[in-house]
Amino acid sequence: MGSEDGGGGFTSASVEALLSPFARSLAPPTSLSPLPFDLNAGVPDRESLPAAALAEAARAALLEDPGGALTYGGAQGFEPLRAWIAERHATETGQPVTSAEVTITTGSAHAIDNIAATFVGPGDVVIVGAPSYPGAIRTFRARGARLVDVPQDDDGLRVDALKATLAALRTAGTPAKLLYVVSNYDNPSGSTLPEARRRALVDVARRHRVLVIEDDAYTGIDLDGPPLPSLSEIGGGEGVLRVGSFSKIVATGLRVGWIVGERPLIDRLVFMRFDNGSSPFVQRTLLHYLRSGAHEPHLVRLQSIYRERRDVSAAGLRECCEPYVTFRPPAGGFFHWLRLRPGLDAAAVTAAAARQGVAVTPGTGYFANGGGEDRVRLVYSALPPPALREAIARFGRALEEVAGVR
Amino acid sequence: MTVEPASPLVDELARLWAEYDLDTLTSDAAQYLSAGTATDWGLSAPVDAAIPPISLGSGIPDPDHLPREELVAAMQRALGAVDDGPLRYGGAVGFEPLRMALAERYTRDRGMEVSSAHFTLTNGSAGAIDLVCSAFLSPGDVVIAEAPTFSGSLRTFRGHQADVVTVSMDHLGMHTEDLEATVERLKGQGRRIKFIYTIANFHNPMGAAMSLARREHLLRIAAKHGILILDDDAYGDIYFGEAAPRALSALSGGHGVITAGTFSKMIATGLRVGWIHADPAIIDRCTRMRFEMGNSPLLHRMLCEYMRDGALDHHLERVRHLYAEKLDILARALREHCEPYLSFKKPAGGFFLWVTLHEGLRADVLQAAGLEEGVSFPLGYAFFPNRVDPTGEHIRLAFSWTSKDDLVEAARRLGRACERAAEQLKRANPK
Repeated sequence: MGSEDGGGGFTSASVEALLSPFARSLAPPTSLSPLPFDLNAGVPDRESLPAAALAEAARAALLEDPGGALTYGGAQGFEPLRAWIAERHATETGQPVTSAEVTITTGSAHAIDNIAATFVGPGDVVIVGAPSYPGAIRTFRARGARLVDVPQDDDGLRVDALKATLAALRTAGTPAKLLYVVSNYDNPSGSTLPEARRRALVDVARRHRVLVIEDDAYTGIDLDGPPLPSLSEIGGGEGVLRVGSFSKIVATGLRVGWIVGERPLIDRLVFMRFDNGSSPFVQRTLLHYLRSGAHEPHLVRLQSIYRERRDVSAAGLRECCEPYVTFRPPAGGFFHWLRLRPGLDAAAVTAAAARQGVAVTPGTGYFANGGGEDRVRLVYSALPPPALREAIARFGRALEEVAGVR
Repeated sequence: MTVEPASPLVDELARLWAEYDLDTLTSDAAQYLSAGTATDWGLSAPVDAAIPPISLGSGIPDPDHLPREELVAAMQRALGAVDDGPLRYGGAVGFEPLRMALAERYTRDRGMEVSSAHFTLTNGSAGAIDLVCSAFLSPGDVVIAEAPTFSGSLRTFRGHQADVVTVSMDHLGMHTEDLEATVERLKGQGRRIKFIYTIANFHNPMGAAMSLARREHLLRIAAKHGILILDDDAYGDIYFGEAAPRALSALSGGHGVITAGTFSKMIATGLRVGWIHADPAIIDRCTRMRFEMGNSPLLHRMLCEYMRDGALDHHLERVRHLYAEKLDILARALREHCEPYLSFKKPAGGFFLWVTLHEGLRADVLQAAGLEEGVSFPLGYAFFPNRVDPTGEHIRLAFSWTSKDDLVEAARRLGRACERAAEQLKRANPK
């Protein structure tokens, strides 16, 4: 492979030849939109970020114990932060969870990566919703998973279809290993699983011995009252790995998430860390912040900010877009999942919206095995109400254009 | 908190899960591994000893010389920034201004024109190596590494189901003649060698800096066979002479060399900010295998602010002197208290002294005696893939973390431990 000049130059093609097959098959991850109205990136509100309280917490963390904050903290994460998470989980679920049953990750996306690295090998079957979070799809696929999707409706994953799929997989001799589900305020569908479906889902997963990954990244952004019992609670803490994150409830830039689960599972997850753990400095800063008394009012404030935005955007959609889209407003989280009127195509709508200066996401990116041409995801979290109204009015004009009205 | 009594469902679940074998769920990669040790994580192994031992086990910076006030000030500036970049997602490739700052440093210090496109930020250099493995390794691929080498990286390679084949080394670095023969042998067997892992600067555990001649030879062999070089450069900035040795990346003009860098040894291990430095085509492939949306941009901005006013250069100047002085102190004390039982070559940088045992002393016996005398350190063989040291009996002493006074006391205790181990040897083999 050495080049003529003896420097041994690696061309793009020669690098490609060295890649592992999964690296070769993946597209780079997406990023924020340059368009003026970004209804594409599921990020928290800019103004709401608690910078001053975090600055104080960072200062406290560094001055109180600089050696601890600035030295390797271990792969499982800072014990007092794990204990804080365990206590919160125990209060919510009634399960006697301790810090040993919690591991800290570099955000919930990293938690999913850690789970995939530990439990997924080439050809293993992972069940995801249709639609589902593309980051999870990418992550499982990179480990060689065979992704099988189960349809979702306005109430989330259809458990009747899940039952049939699991049974068919078993009959085919390829039983599913993992089931990935966002039970609260799903990304992208915004749906929340009703309690009866939760119980049925846990039951069928148990019967088929499928490990459930409950991604709770949006829990906390509860806009219609407290969330329903988690799958983890319904399962009595067994057979479910519950993934959480501070990204949406504090700041995405912290990159701190966690996994709660049975001790043997957590031990295996810690075992598969090769990065020497997430930053103890950030973890200590976060714990100072959580204990400062600033967090609870912040969360209430966030809920009221996003409630207003959900309501403003829902009203705007009804007013400006109703003939072209139908939707059910979510009970929490950041997303409207719009169904386009027959004849309207998501790619065309997205392109027309971009011409209006509005970034939205076509539904097609959320399906592991195709679909979503009649769907658009619209993020209401990142823009304040006046900009949100303007963005949705422009989005309405884009819909009219595609529908041939203008 | 109230705990509800277990429901019939929970009982049923408990019964069903009890029949379950976790290994059927665990991925092949996880089953391929043994648990890591404290040494893999750069920490002292926990010990059960009568006297709280002085640890010479931690490859971490001096805790009394962490730039905490400067970091506090940098964090205040980062969070007071007019834009909210530090608190939002930084993207998989990492915070652009910090990558630019790194590019400026590399351009200035290594004599190579590079840009931010040559860098991606990672969770420390361990995260960098893990990511390079994700992008380039498939099960059954071969990674060539020096023996001895950093045990944490061996665990990472195995976690990616690679086979590790080793090449011997000495105080001038990897034996490149041995490398060439090894590469040819493996190729003859039809094996696919993906990269050669080296710690060219101030090796862990040997402390060696690879000679220029061997660096050039290594580059030629790797390029001839189309094998990437992964240079773990955690210690390159901790040099005690005039400058660091010429970096492999600089010598190669960027061809075929991936460098894993980190702030862990320069500033603090708890930051968990490192990077991959390589050709943009390689950076692109690594970025494809990011699934965790990058590391904390808040930390990235803080480090940027910290580097901006020359604080990092100033700090590095201070700690280079500090570690050089600590090495001198330890070396002098070892000569005074431990001869003729051991010998060593003083490294020109880094955190570690690789010590050869004499007079028939065995490393494991000395370690046990050391714990009784109140000093702890890892065994040389822990840094070999099969935990067998074919080159003799060695121990690794880290001089970075331990205070100057404790270094002297540790050498005194080690001296007593040597006597104790020699006594045991005599009793076991009476003439």
